[in-house]
Amino acid sequence: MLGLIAVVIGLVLFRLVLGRTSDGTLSLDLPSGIALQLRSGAVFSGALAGACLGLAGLLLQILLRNPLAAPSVLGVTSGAALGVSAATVLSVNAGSIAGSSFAALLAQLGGIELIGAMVGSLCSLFLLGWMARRRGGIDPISLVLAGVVLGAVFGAIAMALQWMLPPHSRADVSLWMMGRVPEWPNVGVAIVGAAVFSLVLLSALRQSTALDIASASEDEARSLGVRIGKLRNTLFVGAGLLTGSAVALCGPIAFVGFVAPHLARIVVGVRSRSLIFAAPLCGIIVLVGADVARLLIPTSHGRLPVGILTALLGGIWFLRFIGRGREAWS
Amino acid sequence: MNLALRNISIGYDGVVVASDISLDANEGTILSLLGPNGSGKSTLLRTIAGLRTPISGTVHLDRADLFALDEPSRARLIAYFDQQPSIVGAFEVRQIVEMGAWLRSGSDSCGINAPLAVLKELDLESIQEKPWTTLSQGQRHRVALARALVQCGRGVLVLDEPFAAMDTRNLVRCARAVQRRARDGAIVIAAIHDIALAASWSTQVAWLQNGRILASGAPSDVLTQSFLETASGVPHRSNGCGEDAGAVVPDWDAALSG
Repeated sequence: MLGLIAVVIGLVLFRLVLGRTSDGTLSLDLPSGIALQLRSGAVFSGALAGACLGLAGLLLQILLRNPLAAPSVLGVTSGAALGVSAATVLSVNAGSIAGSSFAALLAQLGGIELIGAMVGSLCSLFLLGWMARRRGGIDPISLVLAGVVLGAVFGAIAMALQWMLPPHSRADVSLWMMGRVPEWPNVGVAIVGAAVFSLVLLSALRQSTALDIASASEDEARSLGVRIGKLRNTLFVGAGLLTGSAVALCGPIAFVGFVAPHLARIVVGVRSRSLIFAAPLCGIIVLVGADVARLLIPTSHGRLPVGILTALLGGIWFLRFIGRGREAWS
Repeated sequence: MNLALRNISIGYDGVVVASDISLDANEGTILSLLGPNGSGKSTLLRTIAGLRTPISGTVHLDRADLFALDEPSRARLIAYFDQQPSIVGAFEVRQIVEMGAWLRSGSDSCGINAPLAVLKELDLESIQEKPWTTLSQGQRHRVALARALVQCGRGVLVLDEPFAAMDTRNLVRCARAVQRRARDGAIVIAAIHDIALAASWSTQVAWLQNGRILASGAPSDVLTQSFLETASGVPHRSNGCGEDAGAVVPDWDAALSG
């Protein structure tokens, strides 16, 4: 655990001093003024979104008893992104009609993204939870398939919505859809995200032994005295809010929530009490690490969106995990 | 302590599997539930463990209505062994066994039901750090049984086929451990397939078939040659070791040559 914290601190410092000179070569310097603000903004966004996704992935994997689960795998990030697209379309149209000062204020505080992302992720989680519980359960692979299909459907609807936007804002939205770590995080979104993360972390910590026991079958967990319904309801909503916060902040970033809990298990083992801290730390390492990596990779036109890197890394890990077969986890 | 089932009907989605089940068990009772596959033994055990509400009827432990209790209060009275114990993740044997004690406060003295004592009793000490993912089926069952003993060694033990996957040596070790709990005042209700084992191990048996209890009582009264032949439709013979219940075994030669 101390090792994880050390890696996080190292990465954060590296991200802060890493820059590019005007002729495009890499440089390490102590920034000041605006550069420092931009870099610390990016570090803060990446760390908060990574921590949220890591914890959300951990909770989903435990509650669904499915090591393949994660916000992006189950289509929850796509649901949140759809929510943001819908909210954006609504606000653009409403803004052109009414131009109300309330809508403007909401937009300034990031309220549009936040509300859209929260509603979108919670709705897709409830849809998924309902499918998983119907007929007394669904096997891990089928649940993942359902999530993938849901994600594709949400993505298609989101793209259809983008065509309803004026052409000049379409490019912004499609860039946002790739996932990026903003250097100017929205203050309102950041505050809500930090609050959501702290609350869910505390709630999960209070129920950490019950979370361990919930890894057993539902009958066994209940007979051991776990109030499984209450546990699922609170932490499922928690995972939805965490995903919503991360998407509102950074867009639909894939696979951080899948990789982080597995990385954490390698370091601290299977006990929830340790994982609840280790999974967010690993989420920070993956997302800030990907952000650093994207700065190191030279491209001719600007830099890669970070979502592309996490999707590559996470996708390969995911395939490797499936390849090892189910003996590896149950 | 008295466990009383009154006019229980069980089933799924409104289809009745078995009905009109009434059973009593007191401290020290080991009640074996026998009967063919699909007769509803597992559903009945889940009902007794408070995990399924019956279609009709009541289950009381002393004065307490089982279905009026919340999960933690029920867990302090009744432990349940699932015929397919499962846990996702590489939890170690000792961590899983200790889950049986999570509701207990640190000051509770639990004597022979302390996790370490039970690990030793069921010969799990040497594998206590092995992860669940590497255990054999028989070892997994022993771990789940140890967890149930830790949880409710002095209460009600509801066991669904606890010994089915075990080798003879471990079966005897585990069966004796459960007997010891009964002698100390626990109530044991278990689904068992091995009739000879049920006859020697139990104080009572109940035979569930065709949606009702065909017979119940002391093993020697119920498990007679004529009853077993009628219930199973398979010819039986004495194994030549006297007239006790359990001395009647299927006559495989006659049954398989016909």
